Amino acid sequence: MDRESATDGFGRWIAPVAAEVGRQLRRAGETALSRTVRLAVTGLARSGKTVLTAALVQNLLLSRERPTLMPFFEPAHERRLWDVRRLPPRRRPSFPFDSVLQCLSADPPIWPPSTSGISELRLAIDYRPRGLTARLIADRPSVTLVIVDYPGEWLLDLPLLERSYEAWSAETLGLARTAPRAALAQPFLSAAEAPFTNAPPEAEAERLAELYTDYLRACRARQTNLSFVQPGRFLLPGREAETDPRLLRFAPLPPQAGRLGTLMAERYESYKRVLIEPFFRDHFRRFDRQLVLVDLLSALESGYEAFRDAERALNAVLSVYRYGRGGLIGRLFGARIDKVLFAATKADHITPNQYNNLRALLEAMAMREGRFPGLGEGALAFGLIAAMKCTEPASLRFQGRPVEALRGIPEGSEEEQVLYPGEIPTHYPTPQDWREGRFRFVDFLPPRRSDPLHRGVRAVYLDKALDFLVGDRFR
Amino acid sequence: MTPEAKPKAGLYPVTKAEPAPPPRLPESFEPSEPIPAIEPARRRNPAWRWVLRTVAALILGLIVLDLGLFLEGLFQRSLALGAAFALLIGAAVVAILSWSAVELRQIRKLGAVEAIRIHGAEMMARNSHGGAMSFIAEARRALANRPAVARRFDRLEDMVLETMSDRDALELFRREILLPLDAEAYAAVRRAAQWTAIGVSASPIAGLDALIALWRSLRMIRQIAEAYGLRPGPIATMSLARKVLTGVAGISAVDVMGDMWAQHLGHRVAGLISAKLAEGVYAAVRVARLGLLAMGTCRPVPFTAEDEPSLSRLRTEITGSLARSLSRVERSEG
Repeated sequence: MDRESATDGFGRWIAPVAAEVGRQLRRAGETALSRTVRLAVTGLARSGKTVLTAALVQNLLLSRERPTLMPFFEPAHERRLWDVRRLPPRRRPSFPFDSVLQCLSADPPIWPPSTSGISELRLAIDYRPRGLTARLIADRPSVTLVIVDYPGEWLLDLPLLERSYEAWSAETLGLARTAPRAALAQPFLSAAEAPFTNAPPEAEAERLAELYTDYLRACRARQTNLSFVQPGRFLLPGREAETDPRLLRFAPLPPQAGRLGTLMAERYESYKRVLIEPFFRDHFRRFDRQLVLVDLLSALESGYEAFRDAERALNAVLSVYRYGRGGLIGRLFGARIDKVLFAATKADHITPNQYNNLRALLEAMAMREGRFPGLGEGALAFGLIAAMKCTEPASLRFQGRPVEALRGIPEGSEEEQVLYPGEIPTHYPTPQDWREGRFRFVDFLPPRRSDPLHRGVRAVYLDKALDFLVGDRFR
Repeated sequence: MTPEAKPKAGLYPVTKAEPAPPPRLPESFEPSEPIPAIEPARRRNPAWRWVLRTVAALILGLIVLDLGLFLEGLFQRSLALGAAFALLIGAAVVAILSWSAVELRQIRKLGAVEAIRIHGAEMMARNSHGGAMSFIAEARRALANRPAVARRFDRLEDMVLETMSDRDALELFRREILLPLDAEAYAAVRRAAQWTAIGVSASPIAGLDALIALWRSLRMIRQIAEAYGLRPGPIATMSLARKVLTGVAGISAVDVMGDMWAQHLGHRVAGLISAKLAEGVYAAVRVARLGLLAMGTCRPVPFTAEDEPSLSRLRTEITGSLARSLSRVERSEG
């Protein structure tokens, strides 16, 4: 009797302590297993970053209610996500998630306006670890997934860090004199070759910068659709550039431009110092994973020149990774991105039987300038994505045979139409491949009555991309 | 490859489109690599077939004649008695016929599963697009007569988009449908093997061992087939068993290896426990191997290397359960 009450007393004393110790241990374990992943999403304007970011987040938020939404994102399909919630942004402006989703679920739905600067969206995702040991340490660790959306144009600026103003001018003017750019650059080129020497340099710089920006804008216009534009901030300045408009007031000049040339070189250097370097130092360096969207289809649609230009831009972006950890960017900023996915977007604009060709073409474009010693095995992948599936399968009868086609509402149309998009070249294309009727890629409107607000966004391989990029952080 | 004529790329009015072809399995498959045909088994002596046929005809004739005479006698005695028995006999004949029809349909379904399997193997081998939807529709028809499986198919169809490659869609099919069914079939095999091990070890008469093993094997094959959506009766089970065993003949090398290993195990276990127990384990391993082969026969997609159930894992489970039951016996005796 005595002994029993003694044990009882001891138990009464020890139980809360043990419970508290257990709680503390568990909390420590959860902290140990919790971490932050910064996933950067980028691509040139019109590549679909905004919709993709919104679709990704919306599907993650709905992943618990609708486990069939992302079958290839392992933590979701294994039902290991306890909870997904949005957190307020911290370092960057907020991504306009709600307004984007509103556009997509309006009746009729519309494409959201494109975002122009850097923005972020933070998610807290509580998950159950897969391994038994990890689960013993913590049953409910949390991953903070920070999705950062920034213009791909800014990545095109990185090579400038290595170039002097003179070298950059020579290169850029040389490129501007080639077809089809020469026609677009004509007003700027004639002004640059004979600047007004008696005007004050400031005013002249202003005029030349204006002409140069017009030229870059013409390059990116829908009908020309050239991708390689430097400096990228001339088109998408971002907030930092608004503080001092003089930062964007320079242009390439032929050598021996006198006082004007000196002024331009100074501004070029301050552009690098004030805009490029801080971006790479404060943002890019912190990213863990990178998704680069490439609108290969519209480049193909616009012709051989646009295609080659897209390749030039792709390789400029890739050069960021080609330097490797010991290379320029590693040396300058100690970048830590360890997984990169290059994805051809708008995959729903071609028939599924062309997917392999599209992926192979993207890879061929990237590999033409060599491999990537800086990235480890399996750290770089090429894929395809459609952030929001706008088409349904259809069939056309041609010479008695059914031919795979797509059904959807093309932009600028009110009614559904059927598209036979043709075939993606299976080899690296030559100018002869752009013959009439070979392929046709049309932009479609978002699907009607798809209810992304409640039913999530039907996407193509978005879950696979997410799994490749961040799936390992949920083990 | 000559370039096929293609329509001009561009937009067409929606009236020109036809609905996408309904998901249907093509009538005949042409696997990219021909599957090596199994050479026909040794033909039986044609005279033997005649013996069988005439004997069967004789027995059938005798039964019909006997029934006729029996009815005639009854009718002579009383009309009511004759009519009642005629009705009973008629009902019995109808029952037998419909039962055979069901059995035959099951046997045919077994053939359909085989066709699906060939199709599935072909799709997994190629990196193609567009075949998976029809494959899943066909598999649904073959498998989804159980409500739980049908629900899983609903889920699967919600996941699979026509934009997925066949390999990806089949991966989802494997994950959502096959793995749970595999687990069920595997449990049936394990159960049968454990029962056989215990039954054979405990059987006092030599001949009874074989009967136990045979009975458990047939039941197991039936359970496996049921797990994969088939519902074989006795005849269909026999036919399935035959199919499984023909498969065994085709891989005799494996069989021999298995026997050697089983003997080796038998000696070791015999050294440890007793000859009778070793016999039980030996029989159980045979049953288990038969079960795994039956799984391969009933499964609508061939096993991949990672899914293939392993005999060695089963063996550990069997010996483990045997050891457990043995210790229980010891404890109750001690």
